[in-house]
Amino acid sequence: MSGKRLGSWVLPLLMLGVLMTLLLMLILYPARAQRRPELLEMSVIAREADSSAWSTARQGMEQAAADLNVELRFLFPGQSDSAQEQRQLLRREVESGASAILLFPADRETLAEEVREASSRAALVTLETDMAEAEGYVGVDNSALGEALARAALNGVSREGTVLLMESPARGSGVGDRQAAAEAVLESQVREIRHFTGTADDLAEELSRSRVQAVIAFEASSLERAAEAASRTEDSPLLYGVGSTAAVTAGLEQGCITSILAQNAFSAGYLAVQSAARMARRETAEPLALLPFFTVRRENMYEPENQKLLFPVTW
Amino acid sequence: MARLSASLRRRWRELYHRSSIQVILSLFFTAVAVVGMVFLGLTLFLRFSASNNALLAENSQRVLSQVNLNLDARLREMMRFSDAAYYQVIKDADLAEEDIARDLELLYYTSRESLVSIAVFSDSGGLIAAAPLGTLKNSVAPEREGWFTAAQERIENLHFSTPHVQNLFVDPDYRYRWVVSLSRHVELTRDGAIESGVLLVDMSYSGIEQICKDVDPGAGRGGYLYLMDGAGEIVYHPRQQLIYAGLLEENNAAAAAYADGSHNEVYQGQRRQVTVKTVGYTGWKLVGVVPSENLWDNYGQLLLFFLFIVIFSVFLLVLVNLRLSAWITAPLKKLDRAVKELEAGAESVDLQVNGPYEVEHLSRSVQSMVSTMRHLMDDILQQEEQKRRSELDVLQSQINPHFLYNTLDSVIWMTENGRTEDAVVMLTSLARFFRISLSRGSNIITVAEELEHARHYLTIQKMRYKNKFSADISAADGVESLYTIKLIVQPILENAIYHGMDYADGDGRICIQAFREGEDVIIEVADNGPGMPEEVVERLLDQGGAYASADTKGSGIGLRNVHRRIQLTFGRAYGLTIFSEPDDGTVVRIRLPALDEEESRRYRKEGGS
Repeated sequence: MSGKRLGSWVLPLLMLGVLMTLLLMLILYPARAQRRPELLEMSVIAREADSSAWSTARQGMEQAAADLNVELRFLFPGQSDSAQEQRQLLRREVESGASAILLFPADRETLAEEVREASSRAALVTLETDMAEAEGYVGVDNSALGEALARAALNGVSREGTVLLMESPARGSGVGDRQAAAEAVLESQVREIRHFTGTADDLAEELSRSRVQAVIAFEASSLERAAEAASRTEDSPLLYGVGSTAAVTAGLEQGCITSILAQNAFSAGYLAVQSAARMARRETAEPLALLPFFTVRRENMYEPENQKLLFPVTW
Repeated sequence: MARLSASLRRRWRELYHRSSIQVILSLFFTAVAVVGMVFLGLTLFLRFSASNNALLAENSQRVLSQVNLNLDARLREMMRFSDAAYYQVIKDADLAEEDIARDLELLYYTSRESLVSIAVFSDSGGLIAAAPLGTLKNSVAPEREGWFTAAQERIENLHFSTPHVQNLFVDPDYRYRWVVSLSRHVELTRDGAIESGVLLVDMSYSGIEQICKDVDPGAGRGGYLYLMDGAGEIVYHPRQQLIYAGLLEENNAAAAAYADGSHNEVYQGQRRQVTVKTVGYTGWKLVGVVPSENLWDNYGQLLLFFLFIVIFSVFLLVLVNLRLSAWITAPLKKLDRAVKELEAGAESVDLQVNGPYEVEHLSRSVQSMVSTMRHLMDDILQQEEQKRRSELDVLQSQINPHFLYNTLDSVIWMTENGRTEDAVVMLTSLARFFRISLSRGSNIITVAEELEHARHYLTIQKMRYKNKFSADISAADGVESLYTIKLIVQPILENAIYHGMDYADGDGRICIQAFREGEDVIIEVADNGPGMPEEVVERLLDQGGAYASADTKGSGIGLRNVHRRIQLTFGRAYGLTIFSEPDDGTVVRIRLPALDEEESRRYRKEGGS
């Protein structure tokens, strides 16, 4: 074929073909507003055996999942606070190719190696407990939270008075951090500290036997138990704790709980999914900041801002 | 600026002069078409955008009007429910004698889908009756609630609250519900006395959500609708929990100040079209939001599509214009090619071009002009040839007369003195001399014939000069068969004899040698005569010099004739060279091209005298 013929017909026709293809692609390709990111599978590994304690956070996660096209898979250990089971769950999820994982760690030390390994293969964000091995953390400053709880309790406990701390099995977690910080403050202010582990009935018995001036619970489930025990005790001690479950707010309203420190759980859940999704999709994002926490008492629990904090909008 | 303009004009002129007519035509056709297309396209695009915006605003308003109707209907239903509770149950009942709880319960069940609770409170906030039946929480003080004080303060109105958690009644399951409260002041009858009270109807929040959710004021372009009270407090928002959690913000405070209608705003760096519609009785406002980014995303795609169509069209136009201009300019280009061939010297060029009238006319004119030019050139060439031939003939004819006269004179003298044999020899040589001179009219003879001619001339001259000199003729092998123009040696010999031998006394010597030098043939005539000074030698071949005009015997005219004939025939590379010094003889060297028979034909001129 002569060069002239190539130049005058074949090349223009080729270019015409390319332009037609581009035009077709342009017509078929959806507008940016209509595009959604690809579906991302995200595993959520809980610390407790059920999600009642963080149902609001779960709502936040589900809202974020709907917004960001993420499919959530909630995984619960057979036994609450079992770091060993969490390790197995984590390993299984990583091996099955999960792109992103949210983890409520039960124990930093036990999980450290597994979390490091998982972080290298998936976007891993922890909630409630910060871990150096993880890529991100969504939650409050647990030490500050513990200190704030202790300082709230100090108001109602005389010098050398007794403060009962609801012991959490998850000592190596954020809950443990809160407890350690609270202990430090109480010890510095010369308060007697006692630890308690057991059911609500055991606690009720304990409270009726001993002269405890205040009880501090560092997580929602233990606060619920403490509130239940306090409701059965005639001269119940002051009760401080962390959490914003329905039972906790009911206890607060009934006067069983003196005050609570609450974070916006919906916000935490939403941000955790958003953060992990962005990491998994290699999107740029601002570094996560620690979430604030608020003190809520019976008197102000129905103030508009606290309503928004404690009671997620349900239709 | 002026310099830039001048530079651009200059470049444009250069480009214009460098470009072919086809390129210029293509460029202009395409440029005009593209400008027209872009202008038309942009006009259509802008018109489309404007009408699309107007359509979108109209659509948003229509959607909001529909939602407003539904919401208004729902709120009026609640108001009618409140009216029914008040006028049918509470107003006519004496609380001291009747328990209105049962009637409220019945009424509640008629609208339980959209209601959470209905309750009547005394002026001091005490619960008089409620449906469904419930126990007031110990911690609650209704008289301090907003809905209660609002009803007390403006007793003639019905008051809608913003969403809040219903916290009045004990719930063993710790459930809480978000509600919108409708409260009003009521007159209660107790023992015939009238006292104030407050009727509270808690609407299920989901009722509002059902009306407002999934409403797209952007007609498929993305957008949402939210509801706020007159002060800008959000009543419903599709992402209400995100706003409550502080993860999202809405421009409700600014929107509260907007009048009903469509507005454009920039919020958090995002352009949005906001349409506001006030809900009748409550003063609530429905706000439809369509992010302009979504609009412009569509517009952007449209613009991209438009640009692509333009590029596509330009490409097609260029292609078509190239072909079109090629078709238009083809006759001109053909004519141009023919003229270029002519310029290159082609003999046969087809100047017949079919095309538009102007081109055909041009082609015929060029053809006629070329034909005329060729005739003129042929005439000029013929005249030149004739002139050259005449000149040669004139030069050649200058050789003979004196020699013939003198020779015949010598023969007569010899015959008179009885030297018959010498006369015979001389006449024989003369006859052969002239035979070679004539050569049947050909101007080209062999070197051998030329040397033979010289030899006869020398024979005659030696006899006339009584053997004052001797002569020797030699030729290298192969030279004699080569060709030369005739009568080139004899004039040189004549010159040598007249100038060199005239005063010799038997010791004169003339030596003729013919040999090859590369591609040339050299015929050298050397004599041992008195020679010449250098200035004479220099002027001897000068056609315009003093010697040239002299008409005396042996003045050198013969040499110049030979020199000119050789150069006229073979070119300026050939001719005579003279080497001479006083008292040292003269050498005249004739340089000729070495011509074989085939090559000599180019120069041959038959039929001459």
